[in-house]
Amino acid sequence: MLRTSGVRSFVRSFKAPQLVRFASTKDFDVVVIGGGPGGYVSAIKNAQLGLNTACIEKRGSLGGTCLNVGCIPSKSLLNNSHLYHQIKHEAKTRGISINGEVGVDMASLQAAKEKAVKGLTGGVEMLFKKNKVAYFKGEGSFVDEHTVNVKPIDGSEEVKLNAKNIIIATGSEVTPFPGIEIDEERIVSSTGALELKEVPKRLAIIGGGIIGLEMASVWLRLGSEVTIIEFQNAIGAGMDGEVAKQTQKLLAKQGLKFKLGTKVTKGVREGEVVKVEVEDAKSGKKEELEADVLLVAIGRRPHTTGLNLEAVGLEKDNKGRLVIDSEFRTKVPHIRVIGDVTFGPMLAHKAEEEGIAAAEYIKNGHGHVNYANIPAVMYTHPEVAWTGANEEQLKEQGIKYKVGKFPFVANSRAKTNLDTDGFVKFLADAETQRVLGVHIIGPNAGEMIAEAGLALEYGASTEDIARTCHAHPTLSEAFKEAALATFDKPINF
Amino acid sequence: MGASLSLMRGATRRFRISACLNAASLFKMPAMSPTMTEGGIVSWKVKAGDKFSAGDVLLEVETDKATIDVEALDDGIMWEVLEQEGASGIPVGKTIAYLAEPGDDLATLEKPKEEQSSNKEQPKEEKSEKKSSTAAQSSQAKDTKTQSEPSSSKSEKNKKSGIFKSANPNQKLFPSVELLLHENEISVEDALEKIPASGPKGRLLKGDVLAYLGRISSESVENVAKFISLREHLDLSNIQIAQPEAPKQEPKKEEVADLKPSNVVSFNAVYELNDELTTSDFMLDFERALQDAKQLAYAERFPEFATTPSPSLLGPSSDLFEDIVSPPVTRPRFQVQNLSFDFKKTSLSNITPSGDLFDEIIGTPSSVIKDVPEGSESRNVSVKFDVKFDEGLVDSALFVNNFEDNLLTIIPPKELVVA
Repeated sequence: MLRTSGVRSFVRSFKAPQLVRFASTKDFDVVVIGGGPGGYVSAIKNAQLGLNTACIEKRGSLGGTCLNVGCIPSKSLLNNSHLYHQIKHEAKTRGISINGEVGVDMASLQAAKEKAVKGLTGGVEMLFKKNKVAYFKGEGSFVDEHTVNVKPIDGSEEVKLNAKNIIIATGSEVTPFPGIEIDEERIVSSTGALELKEVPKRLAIIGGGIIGLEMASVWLRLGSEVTIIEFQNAIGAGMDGEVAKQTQKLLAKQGLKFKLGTKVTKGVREGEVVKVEVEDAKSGKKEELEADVLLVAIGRRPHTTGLNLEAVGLEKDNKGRLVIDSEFRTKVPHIRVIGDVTFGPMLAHKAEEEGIAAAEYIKNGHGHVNYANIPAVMYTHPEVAWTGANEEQLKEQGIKYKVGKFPFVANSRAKTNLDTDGFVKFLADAETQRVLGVHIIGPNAGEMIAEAGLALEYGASTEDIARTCHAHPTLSEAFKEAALATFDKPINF
Repeated sequence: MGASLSLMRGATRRFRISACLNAASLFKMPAMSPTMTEGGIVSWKVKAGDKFSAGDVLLEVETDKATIDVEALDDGIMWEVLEQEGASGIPVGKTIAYLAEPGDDLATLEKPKEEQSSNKEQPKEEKSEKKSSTAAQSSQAKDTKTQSEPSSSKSEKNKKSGIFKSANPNQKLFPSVELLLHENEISVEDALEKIPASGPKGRLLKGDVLAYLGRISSESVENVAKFISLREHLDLSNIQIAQPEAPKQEPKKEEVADLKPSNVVSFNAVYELNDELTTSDFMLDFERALQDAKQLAYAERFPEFATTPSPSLLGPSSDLFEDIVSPPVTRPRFQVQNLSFDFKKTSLSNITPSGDLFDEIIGTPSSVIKDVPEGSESRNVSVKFDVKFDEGLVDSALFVNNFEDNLLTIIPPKELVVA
């Protein structure tokens, strides 16, 4: 097809570059910097593909933000605080009588969380052993394009790793709020919010995104008076507009206070209280709030500190993300970047997918991540989950779509569970009924969204879902009925 | 075919009996493709009074795309031709002839009244007509091996847009698809062979079948598939680099005018040459590699470039939708300029740059060779060139990236500095 024969013979006539070897140098096919959900998954996949792989992690335990101070510990607190709240407030209506006080033992609550985290991070270390991934506990920094220096956290001698391929998976860190100093005691990030020793009487949270709302739910259930301060006019960044509104209503009903369209101008600790100055974004009206704990949860930013990127001259964009091409390559093609430290949504499962794809690119020359189908889940109660496009995006692109909704109040299982808040919402192409997006608020939304993911991945139409048998009585019947509602009438509503 | 045929006959029979005993049946302009709205008659193969059997070619119909033979679905007699040879612009569904059943007495046969039939029997009639056209179409695919096969020429056109593929023959059909095929009496084999698939990995979707049946336009299917496929990739366009690298070479003046809002990336690659390779061979090979890398970069996006080295050799594109979503094929995405070779420590000086052909194709000013010192074994060559690309085009940066990757694969340098 192409005239490459002349070139090929020419390529063969090149001399192979000589690699310089040091005594303290170890050779690897792949070195992964960062042992979070992107890095550790990629390291294991690389090893499984037969590549000699090392993973460098400076935290001291694997799993990154997600396992150590993010998704996993927060889910422990969310689940247990939900149980407490249910027992305390719903036991009577459910016919359960309790003799004595229902209370919270903070120390045990935190211990349960620690146990889950320890078990999971330790599990990853076992997986490394099983798959023969060399694990370096230390800080990795670039020496040159092929060499990464590891400074072990235990202070032992530094090691240089020589790598044919390098994957940067250093993740993200909390975005600081300009002018507010985080001490992780009274003014906390999400990390500190998971470690509180006692239930704060008043908790103020800057940021109405997923992290802010999940933490708000935990402490609200345990008895805090929680106020969310959000600069935007809506909560839940990226959520479908209708779903965001409904979520806000449901959370407000639970007692959460919202200050939307509100700017934080100042936040200082004065002894054991934090004073927060806010300003209405429109009217400029000022107000001062007092809180026992202030949580700063305005988002996360790429983390590249200590990597010594200058040694290889990698580029960042204006938000600090490492610049890559569609195969995760930097301008140095054997150095790839995955996860939060580069483009795309900052989600553990997105990083995992990229980690696998990057390994496949190295081994086979092709890999695949479908960015149109990356689910997002918020573990409040009810849960909120979505995948694919939302209504706003479809309108913007001028796509003609149909909405199919089904409320959980008409679902038999939700009724028997006395847990009927929320709905399933389908967005389907008006003519072909191809599923474009699914948005769920409701019990178990996070589990139910997997079916939507499968539908999107296969290009299914809503009719295909409606014609698939769903067990009775389950919450998933609401999913089926909502699909049906995009082109026909639902049966039970 | 057989099944739909008898259905149609049944319908016309019933009509004839109910409307008027012993009347001829209407032969209407068939729809040879889901998008066909009108057609012309090239020639009649049977004359009034001729008997014909099922499968005989009755006439040749001209559509906007092709000329197609129309076969008889059943045995019969041509009673009267209403639309003569050469007639064009006949809407689909218009009666073009009266047919009689074998054994009908032509003398006593009554002409059916079209107006009357359209009142009550219209829906039935239309439905049977649709079926007959589907049947005619499918019989068509089997028999004629001309370029006239409507669905295949259509699917070829669709395949070019990159959305439709041939259906993957090893798939479990979606329930919606299975039902639609069943309702329309299309066999699974036929469907997988003939219906272009817009789903992931050649999966046949409900929309594909609806478009094939002509119930929705294939543009609708294409639009939604395009929307989805655009979202499937990370948006890596318009990346704003944090610390813009200071030294950017001023683009020279002999630029081609149509690359307006432009950006220039300077490449400086160092190659190590072995003893067998002369400098002129190297230059020739490198220029070939540049050309191949460029062609490949275009071919990755537009398959037609696999055989065409330059966008200017392709005709103009007029697809408005394409133009909005992505710029047309013919729009140049980037240019390679200011190619120069700098040989170091080489004893050879018989340099004959092969610039002519290369210049013609890539549009490069003549190569500049400088600094050829004499007599040494270790030979390096530093190759410099600029890639100029149109920042105003959504995908030009991607093209440059692909170009760079291709070049690095085809002819990997010892060192590469991109500024």
